[in-house]
Parts: sequence; structure tokens; C-alpha cells
Amino acid sequence: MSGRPFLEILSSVAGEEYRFPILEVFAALFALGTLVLAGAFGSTGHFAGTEEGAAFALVNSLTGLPVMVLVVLMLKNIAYGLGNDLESGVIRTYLSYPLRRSSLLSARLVSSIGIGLLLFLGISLLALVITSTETILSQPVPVALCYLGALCYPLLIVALVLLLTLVMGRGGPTLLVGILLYFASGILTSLLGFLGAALGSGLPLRVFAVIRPDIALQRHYTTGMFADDLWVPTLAEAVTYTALGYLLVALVFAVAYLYFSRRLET
Amino acid sequence: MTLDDPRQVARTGSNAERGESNLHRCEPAQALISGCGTMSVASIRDLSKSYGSVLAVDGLSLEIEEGAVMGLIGPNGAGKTTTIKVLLGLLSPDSGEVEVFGEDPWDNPRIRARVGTVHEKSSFPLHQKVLGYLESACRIYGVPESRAAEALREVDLDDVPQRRVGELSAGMLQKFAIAHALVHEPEFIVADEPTSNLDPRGRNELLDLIARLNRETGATFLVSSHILSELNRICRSVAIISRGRLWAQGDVDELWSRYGAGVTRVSTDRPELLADRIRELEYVEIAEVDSTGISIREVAGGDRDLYGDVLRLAREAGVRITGIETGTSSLEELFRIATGEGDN
Repeated sequence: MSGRPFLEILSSVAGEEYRFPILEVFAALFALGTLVLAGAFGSTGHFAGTEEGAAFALVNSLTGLPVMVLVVLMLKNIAYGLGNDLESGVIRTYLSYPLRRSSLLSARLVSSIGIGLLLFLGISLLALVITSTETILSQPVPVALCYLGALCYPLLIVALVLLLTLVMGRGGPTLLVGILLYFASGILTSLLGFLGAALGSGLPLRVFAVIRPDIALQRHYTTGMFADDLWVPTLAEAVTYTALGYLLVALVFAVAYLYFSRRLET
Repeated sequence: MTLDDPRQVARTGSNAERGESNLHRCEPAQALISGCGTMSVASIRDLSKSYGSVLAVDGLSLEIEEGAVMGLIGPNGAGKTTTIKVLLGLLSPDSGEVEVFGEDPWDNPRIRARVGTVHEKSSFPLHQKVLGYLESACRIYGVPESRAAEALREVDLDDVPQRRVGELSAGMLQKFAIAHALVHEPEFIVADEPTSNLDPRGRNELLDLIARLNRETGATFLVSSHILSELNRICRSVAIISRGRLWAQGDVDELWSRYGAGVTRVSTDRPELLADRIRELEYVEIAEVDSTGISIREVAGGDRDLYGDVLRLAREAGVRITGIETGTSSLEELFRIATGEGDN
């Protein structure tokens, strides 16, 4: 008789991580609030650009807060949850099961990140479908790219925090690092914008867009919203930046998997 | 035969029945392994493992024979937990070979289906219910869920199936850890300091349980402890490690007869001075000094008067003798003689 360690560990971890879904309820309330506001003020917003730009701006406005909630949720699960399990020895208990280390980490991440992502997509897409079904159907590319762009940097932070948590063997400090990285990026974007304006160059933003491709996408789709024309990437450029961003995310996750599988000693 | 004497129970197992001799005095630098033709469930050869600049295990070799309750004894920091973790595939060795059921535990997680583990500090998801978590473990291992309740019964924990793991007392948690290690009926159970969180009564119960399980299921146990008298009760064979090295491995009785018999303990106010004189006696093999005196072991054979010689040397050196006794009665003494250390 063969067991099913992956599913059982996934179920066990999810049971611990989502026992009190406070953040999830908060995100759902936000989506509900968005629906109410959308009903009061109309659904497509007041963006005066192209249809693609309008669709992008709409999705961007709907994903803002849920993304923040998602980031906090994922960081909590990785830094606090996994960090605690490493520190307390629960991971050691899981490692005593007949399961490959990579499968164990996958079970952990499906719960810590995958379920959070599904909740995020479920909540924000529901809000989008209800308020702007036509926009989604008519502009699927900017909608999809907006989601991809919005999630890239949070996933990079989560991957970095995962790696840091595994190396340190505890999660308290790494949670702080993750939150700082998330909020610092907004400030850094503004500073780089000012720097670019002062230098008369879009280079600082281009460089930063490798880890935050949503900047490239925003500048492509909603160029009219920016006071400067330092950098207006083409769609191909913006997509390339997005691909580069996800490549970086995949690289950091790969390093974390490698570390967990070959180096982690508990 | 009753459970009141678990050591007696344990010693009637396969090795004793086969009349095999498994005694080895190991020089630290070239530790020997017992190779008497018995099946071994696990073996370690020339294992070394460092943490940074700290050498935790240094060229250690060990053989764990099928059906045995083997004690891994040594003071804190001797390298017991590191050895066990390497054996379980939780740590990768710097050098050396480790095999459990013929496979490298670091690269072959499937062997863990045949191994039960009790960690020194057992840890489980705290909010899950006792029975529920064990049922989940059953599904992981692919054994019937009914084994969960059976395992709880085996450790006398069947009255708290709906309690959350985090609500268990230290003793109950340790029993739960044992139940968790037993749930898939493993052939080999590794317990690292299993009594460390228990009161004396809990310790006795746990040791009785290990002896009973060994007798009833034939499972092999590797039990580590720095409390030597505990292992004295249940182990048929022991491996003595200190400073990351194996000093001796073999049957407890034979180790006693080898190292215990012929040991003379001298209590004195100036052990260093007297020990230096005693070492000059040609028939003295070892004269080790510790906090309470000197342990002397003679080379085999010959007609000599150690008692008289010690008194004479003490008189000549102006040292006061407060006691001399021959023989030994515990693993503590065995440990001290084998390693030249005191039990901490």
C-alpha cells in the first residue's frame, strides 16, 4: 500500500496556515467594497486613453490592495509559518516521512503561496468580472499582463524571503525584510523617477523594471498618466521585462529548492 | 518473564540465543565495527561531520544489528545527535559511508517508510488533534488508519485522541512521538534522548515500553542517552562515543566483563600524584584520574598485589587514601574506563 505524503503534508500545512483567515476576509471585504463603489460610480473608470490603457488602469486599480494583502499573507506563511516550522523542528518531523525534500517544499509552497494566489485571483477576478465583463472579454492581453506585472515583484520578494528563511533557519527577521522590500520598492520607484528626470534619462527606471516589470507595463499602457516621457516602452519591451522579471523569480525559487534539497540540515 | 526487568527481557533476544560475541574495544582513531555475521539494519563507516570549525563526529564507525536494542551513550556534545541525524538522512556527512537497509538515507527517502523516529525535541503541528494527526501519518505511510488508534493504545495514550497536540504535557508529547514513530510498524526505530523531557516515572514507563516493543515486534532500536543508567536497563549492546569518536561497541555484559572486572577505584586527596606513581607499575594498563579518584585497570594474567602496591605508593608519596574498591556496577564506570571521562 503506497501512501500520499505530498497531499497529507499539504493538507496539514494548509490547516495550520489558514485556520484564521483574517487577511483573506479582509481582501474579500475590499473586493466587496470595490463592487459597491463600482455600482455607484460606473465600472470602467475615467481613464481618458486607449481602450487597452483603460482596461489596464482598471485592473491595476482593482489589484492594488489585494496584492498588498496577498504579499502580507504569503510573507506570513513563508517567514512566520515555515520559519517557525524550521525553528521548532516540525520540518524535521516532515523530513522523517518517505518523501523527497523537493516534494516536501512543494507541498509547503502550494499551501503558503499557491492557495494565497488562488484566493487573490478569485477575489480580484470576481470583482473584475462583475464590474467590467466587457473589458475583460475585449482586452484580455492588457488584463493578463497587468496581473502578471502586479504579481512579479511580490513573488520575487517571497522567493527571496523563502531563501533567506531557509538559510537562517528562522523567520522573524525575514518577515521584516520582506515587508521592508515591499514598501521600499514604491519609494524607490519614485526616487528613480526623480533621478531619471534630473538626468534626463529613463535608464534608472529601465534597470529597476527588471525586478518590477509592472513599471514597464504601466509606462507602456498608461503613458498619458505620467508627467514625463523619460521612457515609453513598446509592448514587446514591456513583455520582455515581464519575462525577465519572472526568470529572476524562477531563478531565486530554484536556488531555494536546491538549498532545501541538498544543503538544508535540520 | 515480566516487564519489571526489561533488560533481562531485552537480553533474551536473537544475539544471546545465537551465543554470539559482539565485543570490541575501539581505538578512537580506528574504530572497529562488530562483524560477527549478523544482519545489520544500519551501518556507519568512517563518518566525519563538522559544523563550521567544530568537528562533531570524527571517523566514527558503527553497526546496528537486527533485533537489538542498542544504546548510544556519551556525554552531551559527544556527537550522538549528529550521528543519529546522519543516520536518518537529516544531515549529509562530510565524509564516510552511511547505510540504512543497504541504502544511503540522504539520497533515498523511501527507506524512511521502514524507520521510526523519535527526535530529542519532538515537534508536531500543534493545532492538530492527536488521533487526527496520527491518521494523517497513516495515510502518508500508506497503512490502514486503524493503526493510529492502535499506536495510541500501545503507548497508553488512547484516552486523549481528541486533544490537540499542543495541549499535551511533555510526557504525553513524548509518548505521542513514540506512537508517531510506531504508527507504520517500522523495522528500525531511532530514539534520540527519548527520556529527556520525562519525570522518573515517565522514564521508567518509556524504557519498559521500548523493551516490550522490542520483544513483541522484534523491531531494532537505537536509543541514545547521556543518562547511562537508563540504557543499562534496556540495552543488550552499547556504543560508547565521546568527542565524536567511538570508543567501544559491543554486548553490555561482555563490555562489563572486559572493562568492568579488574577495575580498581582508589579514592584519594591527591589523585594526580598517586596516578603517576601507579602508572609506573608494569602490570597496570590504565590509571585514569577523575574528580573522585583513580580508576585502575590491570593487564590480564599474572600474580600481583595491586592493593598492597597502591598502599605502598601512597605511603611513599605521602598521599592519603580514603577508599579502595574493586569491580564496577554501572555503565557510568564502563564509560569512564572506556573513554577516560566522567559522565556528565
